[in-house]
Amino acid sequence: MKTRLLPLLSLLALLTLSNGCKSILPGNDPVVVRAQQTEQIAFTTFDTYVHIEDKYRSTLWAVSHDFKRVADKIRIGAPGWFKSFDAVLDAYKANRTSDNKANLAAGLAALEQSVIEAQSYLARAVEEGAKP
Amino acid sequence: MSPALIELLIGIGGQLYKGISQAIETAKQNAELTEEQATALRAKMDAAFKTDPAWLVKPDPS
Repeated sequence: MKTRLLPLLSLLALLTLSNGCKSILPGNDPVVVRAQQTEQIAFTTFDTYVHIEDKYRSTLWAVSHDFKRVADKIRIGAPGWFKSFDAVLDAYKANRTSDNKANLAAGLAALEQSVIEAQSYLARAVEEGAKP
Repeated sequence: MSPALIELLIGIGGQLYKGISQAIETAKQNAELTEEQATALRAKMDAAFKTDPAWLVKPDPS
């Protein structure tokens, strides 16, 4: 089971970090497309993590209190993270200046960092759960 | 391995499959979202934050 789940996690991480490689249809801004993809994959990752932590809280709590700490950090922080991200994305879409592009890149980096943390705890849940 | 851990692994597998399927669909996107799509995405996230029980902060287990 563990050996089947870990490649799934690797695939999720790959999708998060490599979605800038897709061919974009003419007339579309790759910066916006990548930002929107990252936002959607970030939400999917957070949603997956909080559901797993909610459903298996007692089991994960017995392994490490960090699973709930990270989940609660996402629950409390994510609405604001996405609101801030949407603000810089909207600003860039309205006015595609280098400053707004830099702000969007910073927003992307912050969101990706939180996604990586959630993915690492998903991997840890698999590792801990698979221990004999 | 305890039944609880086996259930945990099966549950994680199911949730991951659902998440990966959504992420793969997202990765196929090759154009900017329309205003309607972007609005729908934000509404979906807001609804989850406010009404999905899994998104609510609950007390630590005793």
